[in-house]
Amino acid sequence: MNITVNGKANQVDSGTSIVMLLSQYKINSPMTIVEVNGTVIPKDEWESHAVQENDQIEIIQLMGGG
Amino acid sequence: MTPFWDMLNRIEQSDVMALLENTSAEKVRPLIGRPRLSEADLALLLSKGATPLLEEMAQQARRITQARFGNAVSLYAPLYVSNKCSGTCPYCGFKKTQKIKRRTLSIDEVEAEGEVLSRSGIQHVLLVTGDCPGKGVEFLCEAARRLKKRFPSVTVEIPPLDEADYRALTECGVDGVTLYQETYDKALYDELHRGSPKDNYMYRLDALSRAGAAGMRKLNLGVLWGLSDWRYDAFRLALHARFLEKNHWRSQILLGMPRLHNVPGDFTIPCKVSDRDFVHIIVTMRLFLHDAGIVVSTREKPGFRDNLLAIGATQFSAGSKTEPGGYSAAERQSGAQFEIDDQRSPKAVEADLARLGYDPVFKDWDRGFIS
Amino acid sequence: MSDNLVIAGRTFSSRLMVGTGKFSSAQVMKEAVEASGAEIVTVALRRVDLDAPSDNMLAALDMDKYLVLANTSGARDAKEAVRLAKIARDGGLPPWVKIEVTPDPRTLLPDPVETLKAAEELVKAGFTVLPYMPADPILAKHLEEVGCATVMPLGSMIGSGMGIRTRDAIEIIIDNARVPVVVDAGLGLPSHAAEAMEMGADAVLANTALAIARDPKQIAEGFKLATIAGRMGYLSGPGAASREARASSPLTGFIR
Repeated sequence: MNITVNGKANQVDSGTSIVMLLSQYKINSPMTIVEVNGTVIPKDEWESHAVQENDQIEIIQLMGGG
Repeated sequence: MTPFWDMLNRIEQSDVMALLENTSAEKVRPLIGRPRLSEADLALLLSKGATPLLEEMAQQARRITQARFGNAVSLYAPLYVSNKCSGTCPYCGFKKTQKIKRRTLSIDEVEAEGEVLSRSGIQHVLLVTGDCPGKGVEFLCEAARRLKKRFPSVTVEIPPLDEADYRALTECGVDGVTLYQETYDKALYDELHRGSPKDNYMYRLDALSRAGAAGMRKLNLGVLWGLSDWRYDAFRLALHARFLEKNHWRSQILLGMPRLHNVPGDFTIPCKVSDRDFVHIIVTMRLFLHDAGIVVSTREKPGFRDNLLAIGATQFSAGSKTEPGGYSAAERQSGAQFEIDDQRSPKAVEADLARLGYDPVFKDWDRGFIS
Repeated sequence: MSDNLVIAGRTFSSRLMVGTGKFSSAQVMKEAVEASGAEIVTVALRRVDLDAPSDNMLAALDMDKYLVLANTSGARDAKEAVRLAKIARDGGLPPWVKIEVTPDPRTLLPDPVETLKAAEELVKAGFTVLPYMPADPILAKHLEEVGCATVMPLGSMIGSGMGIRTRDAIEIIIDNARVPVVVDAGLGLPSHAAEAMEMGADAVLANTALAIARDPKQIAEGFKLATIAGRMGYLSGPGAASREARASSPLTGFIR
């Protein structure tokens, strides 16, 4: 399936969950926020939420800031 | 927006009030030069401890007044619509029981009075009504519309209104509202005004906030000096002024300084304010409120009044008649609210002020050219 | 009598807020934040760099111990600031936001127009809004009117360490404010924090000064103590008054 993550095109198998997607990118910080097509997906749905064709995904993290 | 009453209660329960009883000059001296004063500083400056420092305080008050207002003194005159009043305020010359000739001007008579008054050079008129039946907002709006033809600035001194009524007045050209709480001592206020239409302390206390919310450009608050202990009332008045400055930052805040002198025979002034105390109040208001206008009326004698300009006063009434129809009539035909101690005409006041090095200003602002 | 800082009905005993940016490591940042005694800590939001998902700087921080205040740094206008705030809230942070709209990357000065727009919209969206703003007394009143919980005028440019270069404006803001005033940005030394508190500020926010110090933990404690000392100075009413010559003609001689 074709999807866009943080502005970059990517290919993933159908049925990939958010959790699987994050591990593919080796992202495991608790401070992560995932937004799919403009909607933030709550953490407790990362397991069940399957990525769809042409999804626009943003993986955002809380970082140090003033 | 938390009302002023909540803030006042919070302060009155704090230990700041005790500072009003301070007698040490040493506690007061370091405050005089300080540019920004706290509530505690205000209390100390109003305490007996400040009495020996009045001259030093006056010097600082003059520096601040000069910096903020220069030598300008704006002039205005009251126009009394009626001396009929259903009130029973013991200190007032208009109270129901007072044996005076009663008169209420019609709208045309108000306009005629305005016409005569404007010939004396006055350009800011203060329309005054007591709790007078039939002289509601519609009448005041019509009066304001007519007076605006001759007076660039029309302000009103009327009983407290709702915000919508204040907005109606601003829309027909009224620039400012004057409303004195008389005394902030609620127990005394309730006692003095029991049974009169003026008996709602709270409705009166928040009225200027409603006027500010309605966009009134000038908010003039005050205390009738002599009713209660001046140190406590001056403390609360200053806090009320600062509260209005913070919450209605687009409005100019002014302090009226009416002092009880001659009162109806059956009333004795509970806490008469001496000249020294009166100066102490004005000087401290100026130290605490750098930008507030301070208005001194013709209740004060000419010589005394002119000296107040040096230490904080910024606005004078001139050529005032405190009875309805006073300007048109050759001699007085109806009862006045108070005796005038400064009988000078506006032109005489203007000449005296110029001689003293002040700049008498008849017209300081005109909405005409912007709306 | 406790002298707590109250923002939007919530009470804090510390009047020092700290940022978590620019530290050399997560551990150094954690120690400095703890040494500062701060209860409000600001964080930023960034897209993860997919090629190098570095270990997260904030992971070391015990997020439950602090009110984590997301800022909207990176936003160049109100629209972007609102988007960032909503992502942070939807991502689990409390509905508090420090608005930071700094379109000019060189000076990082706050955009007054977009900040006011963002503030109005975020208050309507249910946020407790703390706007980082230029030290402008009139803008402060506008921000109050749209419902901001505090105003946060800058002392000097972010990261400049120049201290309070906007003293007169901040004094006016403090005198006229109906909400707490937090001096934020440019505080380089503990004495700058003390100065702000002595002027009557309700709180201060520091970040760069802690992060780039040789000993961040120590300077963090310095800022904590200076904030407390400055507050004590303000509450006790400083003694010194400028002595000025006595004018020749007495002004109150006319009193009988």
